[in-house]
Amino acid sequence: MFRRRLLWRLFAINAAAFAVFLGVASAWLLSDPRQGGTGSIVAALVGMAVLGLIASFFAALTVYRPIERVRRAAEDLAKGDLNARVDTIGPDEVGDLAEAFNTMSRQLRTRMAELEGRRREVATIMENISEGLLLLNPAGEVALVNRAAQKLLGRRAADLVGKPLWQNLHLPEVHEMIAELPKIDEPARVRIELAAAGEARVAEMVVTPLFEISDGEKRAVLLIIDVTEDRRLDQMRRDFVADVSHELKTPLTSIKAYAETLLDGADQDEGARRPFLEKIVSNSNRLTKLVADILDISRLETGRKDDSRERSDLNALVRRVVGEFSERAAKKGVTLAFEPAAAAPEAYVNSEDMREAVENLIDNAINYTAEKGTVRVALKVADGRITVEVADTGIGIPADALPRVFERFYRVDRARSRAMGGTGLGLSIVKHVALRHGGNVEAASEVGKGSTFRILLPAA
Amino acid sequence: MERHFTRELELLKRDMLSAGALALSALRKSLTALAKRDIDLANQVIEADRVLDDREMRVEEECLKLLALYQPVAGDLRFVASVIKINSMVERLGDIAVNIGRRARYLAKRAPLPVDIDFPVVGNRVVDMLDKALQSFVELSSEKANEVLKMDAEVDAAYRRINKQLIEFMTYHPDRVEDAVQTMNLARHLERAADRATDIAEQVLYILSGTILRHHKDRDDAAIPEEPKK
Repeated sequence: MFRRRLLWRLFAINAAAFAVFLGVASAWLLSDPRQGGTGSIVAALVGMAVLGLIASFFAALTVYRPIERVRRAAEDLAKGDLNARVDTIGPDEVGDLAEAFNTMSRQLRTRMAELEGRRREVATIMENISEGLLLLNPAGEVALVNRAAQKLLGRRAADLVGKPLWQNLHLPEVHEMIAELPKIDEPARVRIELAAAGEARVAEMVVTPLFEISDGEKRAVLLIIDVTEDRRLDQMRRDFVADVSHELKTPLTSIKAYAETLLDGADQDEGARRPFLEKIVSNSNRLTKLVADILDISRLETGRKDDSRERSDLNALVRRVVGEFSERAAKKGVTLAFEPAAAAPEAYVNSEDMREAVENLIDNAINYTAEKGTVRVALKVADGRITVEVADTGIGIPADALPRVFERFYRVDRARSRAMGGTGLGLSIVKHVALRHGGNVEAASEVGKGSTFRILLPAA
Repeated sequence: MERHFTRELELLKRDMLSAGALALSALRKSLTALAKRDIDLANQVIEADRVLDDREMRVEEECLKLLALYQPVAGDLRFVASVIKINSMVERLGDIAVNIGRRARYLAKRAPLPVDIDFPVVGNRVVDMLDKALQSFVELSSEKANEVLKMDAEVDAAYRRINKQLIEFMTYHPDRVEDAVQTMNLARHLERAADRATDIAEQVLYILSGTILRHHKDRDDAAIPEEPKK
């Protein structure tokens, strides 16, 4: 019963209003100008009416005020102030209304925070993914563009947003794609060449039309994927296959030619038979070495092999390799010197790979050094780095060729390298081994004076 | 009627730009073909010029149609008239790209000249100029157009430098005069491409101001005297 206070108040207002009406009505009925006696009654009735009026007004005010407060809060909320709420009014209907309003505004607040959080999540993902992303509105204008897209296209968001894409990208592929856009309903893909910041990049642009069920308008999402690196690797692989085929073909052709000549009757010729057979063997050897090197390279590149590294003393490892070459060096009249490091150079290495790398370097050095020359193999340890240095006093490498000597199948002089039995892969293997061990390679050379190759490795 | 015309102008702008993009792409590809000694790409550029020629005719027809149908005045008239001019400049840029492609094809078969010519740098500069010239046309921006004009001086200077290098080289290597001359031609084509980009920028300034800049300064300074003009 007491929860219905608003009802009581309205009742009070009406009662007061009724008193006013009664007072005024009876005062009018009773008023007789000829009879002065009734004057005091009239005055009392008028007084009653005035009091009723005042009471009615105040009673109305108590109803009006709380409702006004709720109205104001609702207005604030409508204006977007999500913190709008009504202070406690009391346990009546308006109080309930205020409570309900507060609950609603609180729920709205949490719902909005949730939505905002989700929006920010999506926006953050969009902004930060490594692919370029653009959203085109039905008019073909850019509605959204992320950072990667700005970077790839070399245009700022301010230049792109709100304008048709063809105004900013002078690429025929883009023009064509945008012209096609209204007609397609499957994702389309084009390859574009970009030159953002002076750097040539190849990108794949995927356009996906988006149908909006609600308005039947067609928007589109453009995804720009930088494929420069993929393309480069692809090209490298293709080059490698071409190079390998070429390298394999040369000895095979020789073997086939000599064998056929023998079959055609040369085997009856005592003077030709032996040299021809020797040629066949030497070419087979070259093929074998080539295949072994290629297998090494691919193993080092794919990195699949059991990488059994152990802490090793490189002084001992290199000393053994140098020992293996002493005979050959002596035969050629080349001085082979070894200078071990003062402190024990220990590193985690795959000793088989490391031995092969050092072998390749010493082999090259002896090959390209003339009689009376020197090949010096030295080990140094400094700042946690181990340097294996192989320096020769050989023919040297021209400056323009030096940066390329570690490339696969690169040879400064193709014919000379073949004559020495080189596969063109030796230094490439050295580089791969060094990289696999977290190190690097260096080469310095002067034509006619000699070359120095270094393997740099992190010490254990 | 009025709104129709505005829409037509927008479409014209888009077609013009689309042709410009083709020319830009051809120029870019021809320079790549030159740098990478890629004969296939050079052939592709030479082949693709037909598309640009088609485009040129279409844009021109469009312009004439607009002039006849709407009889534009003042700014609009200047715009349509300028598109006709820019259109032919773009078409010529396509031809220049073809010429560069032909030289690239020839040079790819020859041993590289032992001269350190910064074609990639100048080439990029010219490509940038054209890109910016097209942008100045889209936005009708005098700021961008003026930037293009400034860049032209740089390309001219580079052209003079390349010529000097090549003349010096020829003096000492008479056996490779033919290749050096082809390279020189190539540089000239690049310089011309830069001039065409400049023409476009000037045309944009004309749309904006109504003043013809073309004959105000001597841009063709860079062409060496013994070169016969066109």
